[in-house]
Amino acid sequence: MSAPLRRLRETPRHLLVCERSHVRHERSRHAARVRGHAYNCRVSFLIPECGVLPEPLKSVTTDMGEYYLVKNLPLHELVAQEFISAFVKTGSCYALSYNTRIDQDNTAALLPTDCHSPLKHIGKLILSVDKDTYEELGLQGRPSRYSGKKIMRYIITIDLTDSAFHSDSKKYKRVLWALRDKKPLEFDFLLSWHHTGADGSTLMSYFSKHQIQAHQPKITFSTLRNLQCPVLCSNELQGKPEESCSAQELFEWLGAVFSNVELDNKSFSFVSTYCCPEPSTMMDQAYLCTITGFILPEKIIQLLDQLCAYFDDPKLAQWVTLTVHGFADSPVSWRENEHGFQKGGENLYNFVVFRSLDYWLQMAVGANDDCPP
Amino acid sequence: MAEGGAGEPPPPPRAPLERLVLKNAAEHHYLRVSLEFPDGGVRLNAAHFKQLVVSALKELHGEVGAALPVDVLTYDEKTLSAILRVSSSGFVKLWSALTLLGSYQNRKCAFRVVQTSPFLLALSGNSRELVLD
Amino acid sequence: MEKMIYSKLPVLATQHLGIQRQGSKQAEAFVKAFLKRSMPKMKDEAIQDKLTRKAVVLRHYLRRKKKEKRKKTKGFSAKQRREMQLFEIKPEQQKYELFLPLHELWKQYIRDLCNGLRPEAQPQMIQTKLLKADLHGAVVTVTKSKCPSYVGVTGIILQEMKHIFKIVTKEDKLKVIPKFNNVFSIEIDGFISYIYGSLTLTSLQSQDLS
Repeated sequence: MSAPLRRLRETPRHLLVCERSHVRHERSRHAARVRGHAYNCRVSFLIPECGVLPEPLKSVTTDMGEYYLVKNLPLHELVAQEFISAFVKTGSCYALSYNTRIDQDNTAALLPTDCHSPLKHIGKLILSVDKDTYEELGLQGRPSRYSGKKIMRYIITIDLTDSAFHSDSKKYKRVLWALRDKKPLEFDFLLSWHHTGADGSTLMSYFSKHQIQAHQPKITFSTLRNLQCPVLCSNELQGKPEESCSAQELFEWLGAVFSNVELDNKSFSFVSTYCCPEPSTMMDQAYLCTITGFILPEKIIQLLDQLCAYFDDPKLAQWVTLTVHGFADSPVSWRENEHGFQKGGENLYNFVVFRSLDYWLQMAVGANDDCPP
Repeated sequence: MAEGGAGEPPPPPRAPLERLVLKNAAEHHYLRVSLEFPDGGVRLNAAHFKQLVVSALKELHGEVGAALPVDVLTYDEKTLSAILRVSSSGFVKLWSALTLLGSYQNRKCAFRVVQTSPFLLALSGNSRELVLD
Repeated sequence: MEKMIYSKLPVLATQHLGIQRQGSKQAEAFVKAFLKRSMPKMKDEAIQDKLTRKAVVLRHYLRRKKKEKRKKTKGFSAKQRREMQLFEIKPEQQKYELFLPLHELWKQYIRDLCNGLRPEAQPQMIQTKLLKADLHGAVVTVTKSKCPSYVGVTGIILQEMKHIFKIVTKEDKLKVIPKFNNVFSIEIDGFISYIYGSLTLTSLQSQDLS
C-alpha cells in the first residue's frame, strides 16, 4: 500500500492503561491515582442490581462540595501573598480557567498543595500559553511537548509555595510584575477549596470584590431496567474466551451504557451491529448516578471509599464502577503530566471494584498526553 | 515511564499487581456528529441517516468506502445527532466523507463532527459542554 | 543620375526648405568638423583616408566622462578596532545619568524630524520617520522577546551595531540586547512606537546611505 493510503488508516495516538490490584493492598495506589487527577468535570457510578442507594453513599453523593465561578479574575490575584497564605498553603486550593480551550487559548490552572506527598505538586500555578503571549509575558517556561517543530505553545510553572517565593524576593516581584503590569491576563476561574474544618465560603468572601457565583454539582439519578452486563472475573484483566470479558470490552460497554446505546443488536442489523460483549448476564436493574461540576479528588476518594463499603453487607452485585472524566482543556492530566487537545482531549479513568475489593483501574488519555502514572 | 520529578528517590516496585499499557489498541473510533440543514424541517429516521452516511462514504471513497462498517450507535431524530462507530482504520475515511458531504436529496446539508474519541466513554462527558450561569 | 545627386539644389528648393546655401569651402569645413565630431578618436589624416576609400558609418558617439578614482579612506580594520577597544564603554562611564543629556538631544532630534511632534500628528508619519531615525540616545523597552529574561529591560541606547543594541539601564548596568527575535518599544511625547528588531538587522553604514 502506498504511503498516503497507509496514512489514511492511521489514527491519532491514544493510551489505555489498565491496572489490577486490591483496595487493601499496602502498595495499592488507587488513592494516589485519584488525588493525582486534579480536575474532574464528571463523576458517574454504576451499581448493578441496586434499586435504592444505601444512606452513607447517598449522603456522600449529595455532598460533593460547592464550587465557585469567578468572572474576569486577573491572574495576579492568584499569586498574591495574601491568597497564597490564606488558601494555597492552608488547604487544597483548586483553580482552573473556565471556557478556555487549550488548543487555541491561554489556559491557567492552580494545582493544590498535596499534603499526602509533600515532594510532589505543591501549590503550583501552571500556565499554558501561546507563543505570542509567552514572548510578551517575560516569564521563563518550557516549550510544550506536543507543539511540533515550530513551537507555538509554552508551559510556565510557578511554584507558589517555594520558600524563595516570598514578597521581597526577586522572583516574586518578577512574577507579579509580569502578570499585573506587563501582560495582565484575565480568566474566568472555576475555584474550589478543600480544608478540613473550614468552609468553602471563605473563598467567596475573599473574592467578593469580583463577580463570583457559587455552584452546586448537578446530580442525576437513573435506574436502568433489564440491562445486559458483561461477566467479569477480577483476576482476568484481559478476559478469557467463554468465561469473562476483558477490561477493554468493559470500557466500551460502559460508554455504551452512559450514552444509552442499544445493546442487543443483531449482527445483520443495518443501522448498528454493536452488542454487549459476551459472556453476559441480564440484570433486572442497575443504578446509575452522574455528578457534573468541578469535583475535587478528595470528594471522589470519599465516594470510592463508600463504594467499597457498599460490599460490607452481602449484595447481589458482583462489581460496581466509578467513572471520572477530566477536563479536556486542563493543562495537566495526572499530577503535572502535560495534557493537550488534539482531537478529543480525553483524560478519564474508571474503577471497577469487585465484591472481593479487588479493583481494576483503567486510565485513558488522548494524543497529546503523557502516559498516566 | 512518566514517574516524573527530579531528585525523587527511585520509584518503588510497581504497586499494582498487574499493569497493562495498551497503546493505540482501540479497535474502534467514535464520532459524535450532528446533521444540519440550513432551513431545517427535514425528518430522517435512523435507517435513512445511516444510508446518508454510507452514500457520503461512497461519494468520496467509492465502493470500498461504502463497504466500511459504520454503526449508528445512537440517533436522535429531533436534533439529527448521532454517535457513530467505525473501525479505527476507517476513521479518517469516515470523517473526511462526512466533512465533504454537501447535500441530501438536493437540499443543502452539513455534518458537524462535535466530538471524536477512541473511547466511547469519553463521549459521554464533554467538559466543553459544561455550561454554568 | 549621378549628376543629379551632386548637382546644387535649385534656388527654389532652398528657399522652400529654408536652407542656406553654402559655398564649397564652407561645406568642406562643415563636413570635416562633422566627421571629427562623429569619430573623435581618429586623427584627421585617418578620417581623410577612410573617406577616400571606405564607407563611413556615422553614429552617435557618447563622450565618456573620465571617472575619478575615489580615494579610499584608510581606516582601521575590524581587528585593529577591537584591539584598540574603540567602541568599548569604560565601566566608570556606564552611568545612566551621564547619558540623560544624550537622551534630551535625541528627543530634540526626533521633534525636529517630525516637525515639532504635535499630538495631532499622523502616527504613520511618525512611524516612518522613526524607522529611519538614528536611535542613539533613545529610551527603549524590550516588550517581546523569544527569551523571557530580556522582556521588560529598559534603558538608553548607547550604541547600535548590526545585530545588537548596547543600552544602559537605570541601575547603571550596561546590557547588550540582540535585535533578533526581540521587539522594542520607544516612547516619545506620548507616542509609542514598536520596532521589530529582526527587521532592522542592517549595518549602520547602509543605514546612513539610505
